[in-house]
Amino acid sequence: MSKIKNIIRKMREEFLHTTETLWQNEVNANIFVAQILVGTAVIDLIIMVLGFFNVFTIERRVLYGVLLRALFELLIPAFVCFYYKGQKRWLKTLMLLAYTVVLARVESVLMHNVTLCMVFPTVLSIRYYSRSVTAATAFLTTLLSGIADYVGVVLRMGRLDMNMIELPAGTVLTFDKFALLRDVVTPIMDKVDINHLWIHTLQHFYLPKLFLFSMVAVMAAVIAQRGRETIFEQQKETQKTERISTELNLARDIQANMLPNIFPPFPERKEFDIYATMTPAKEVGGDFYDFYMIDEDHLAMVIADVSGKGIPAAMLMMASKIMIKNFATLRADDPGIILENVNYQITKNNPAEMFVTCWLGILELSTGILKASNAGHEYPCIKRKNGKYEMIRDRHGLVLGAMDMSKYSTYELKLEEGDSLFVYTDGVTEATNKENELFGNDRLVDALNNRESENVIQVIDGVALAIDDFVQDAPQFDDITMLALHYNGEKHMDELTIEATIDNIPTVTAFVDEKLEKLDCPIKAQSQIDIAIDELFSNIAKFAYHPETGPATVKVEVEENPMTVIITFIDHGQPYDPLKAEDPDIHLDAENREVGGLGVYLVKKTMDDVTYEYKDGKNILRIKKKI
Amino acid sequence: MDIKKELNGDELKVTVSGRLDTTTAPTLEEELKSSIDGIKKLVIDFKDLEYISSAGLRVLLVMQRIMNKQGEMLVTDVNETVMDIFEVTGFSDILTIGK
Repeated sequence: MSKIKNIIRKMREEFLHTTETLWQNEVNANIFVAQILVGTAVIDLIIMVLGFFNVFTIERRVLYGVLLRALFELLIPAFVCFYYKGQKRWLKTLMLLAYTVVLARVESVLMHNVTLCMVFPTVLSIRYYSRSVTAATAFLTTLLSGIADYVGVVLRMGRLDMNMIELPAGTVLTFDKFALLRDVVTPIMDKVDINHLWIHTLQHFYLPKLFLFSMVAVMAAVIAQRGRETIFEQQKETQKTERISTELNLARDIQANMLPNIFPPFPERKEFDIYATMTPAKEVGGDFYDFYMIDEDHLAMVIADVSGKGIPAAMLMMASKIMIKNFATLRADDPGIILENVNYQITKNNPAEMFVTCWLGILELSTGILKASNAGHEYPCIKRKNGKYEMIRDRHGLVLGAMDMSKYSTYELKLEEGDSLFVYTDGVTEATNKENELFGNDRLVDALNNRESENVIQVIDGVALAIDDFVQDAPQFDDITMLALHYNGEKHMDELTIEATIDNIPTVTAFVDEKLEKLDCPIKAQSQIDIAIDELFSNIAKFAYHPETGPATVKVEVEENPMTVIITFIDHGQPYDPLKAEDPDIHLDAENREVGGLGVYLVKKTMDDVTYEYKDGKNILRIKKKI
Repeated sequence: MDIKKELNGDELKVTVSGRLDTTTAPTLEEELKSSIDGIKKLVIDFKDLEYISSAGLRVLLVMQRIMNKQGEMLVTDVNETVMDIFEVTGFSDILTIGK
């Protein structure tokens, strides 16, 4: 139903849009016609001035009689139109009628001298792009022209033209250099056959004009119709352009949403911080970054630049992104092989001959080992803890999409706790200022090192600011994409998932103790933590999945300042908040003492913080201990 | 956890080392219960005990109740960690803690 409603709404909008377009045209046409009326009035004035200096043979009295009235008849409708800013439907009738009447009156006096001007209204009416307006105007013109002839010849108001009358042989006429018909003919009316005069006029004057006007009318009507069609076509083009622009915006949104854009993306992962941005130069760009956990221990990071811009680049970008992710999920251990596979796929189906530069790195979080492969992409930058960012001149393979059998080698780096990584696209290094200088590698490394960046967001913002400072007002030609990673080291976060049984308590304890020993945890605190593990994990083992058993996850995190160990116990068993139980009475004697609740009580007393929540079907119990 | 038993007439000295927790407590309980008959004095030496959890406390409570009936029980050489636990849980009032 909503689809149908949508269609109806669309049609309605289109109709209103069309009406609106035509109306806008009519308003514009009204203004144009009013301007022509004023223009004609100006010519009218010029003729009057010339007449004053006797340039024309016409008697001034006659000339002014016609022209003065015309002046008003032209200017008044024109100013009415200006007054209403052309926004009245009747304006076109008023103005075209006035124009035709003025011209017809001139014709009735000046006769064939000005016959040509009777086509003006018809030609002018074309501007309304309406066949009916043009047809009506042409009809009016023809009619008024006939009346003008009648007035001019039969009523003898027009200028003398000896072709118009047939006088009996031997008639003697005397007249000035200018004369009206009546001056000459009226005295000898008895000798003139008035019917013959009328027929003569129709036959020799009006009939040829009728043919002429008809031709003009047909041409004008066709042009008007064509004009209207052009308006519609233009409107359709505009709509098409609008739709394309809407779709482009949509495509940009889709593209932007394809990239992970929620930060921090993995708040529960303390081993690393990651941040990335893409600033497209056009609506849709060819750059992309991506990162995702392939499994619990492997983080994949991708940065890539598709050649070209706009929709084709965006489509290849999407395809590449998905392919890399798919292959990465299958072959987490070897970025080179992933790129070989992706390259093969892209090359096989690459009619547009486009290519992709790409850097792919897979970080093993527990060890800090970064395996990476580079397909014609910019050098990554790495900062060692307490060191400076440096460009790693890694081995480059061919760009993806060039040769189907290209090989891509994988190289290995070890990230230590506190190391950082920065990868980017050529939009960074090739950002250009007004002097046509490139931002370049050196400025990039300087920007990375110059600022005191405490976290990955500040690293990227710092570079972005440096680029802005450098480029100033010069336009951005290429997408600018950056990805920054900070490796906190594996020991900050570790987890173990194990079946929740009493027998597994020593395993969990050993797992946690190993972390605690690395932290030089005092013996007493370690014992208290071990006791807490014993109490809490045995609770899960006994109750969570009773009478079955199930898995439990134990996570160890470390916070600094003050050094605090956070241990989280997660199980999917029945909801149970051990903290709700009442504390046991510890002052009873041995006979009356109960042991129940003592364990949790002990944990509460020895840990600095104990919290419980039930979330997404999980019991999450967290203890904190300062060490 | 290691358990060492020394029987001296009607006095039993048990030395527990390692960790007394959920995993190990049942073993201790079994060991003690099997040799408690006719014992007038039970000495539990915690010299080498790393820590004790509530499961261990439960064994101590059970043994204390038994010994209340047939004699006395003494817990000796308690380290700081374990002593803290006794104090926190009120066991320091129940148990007789000696040097």
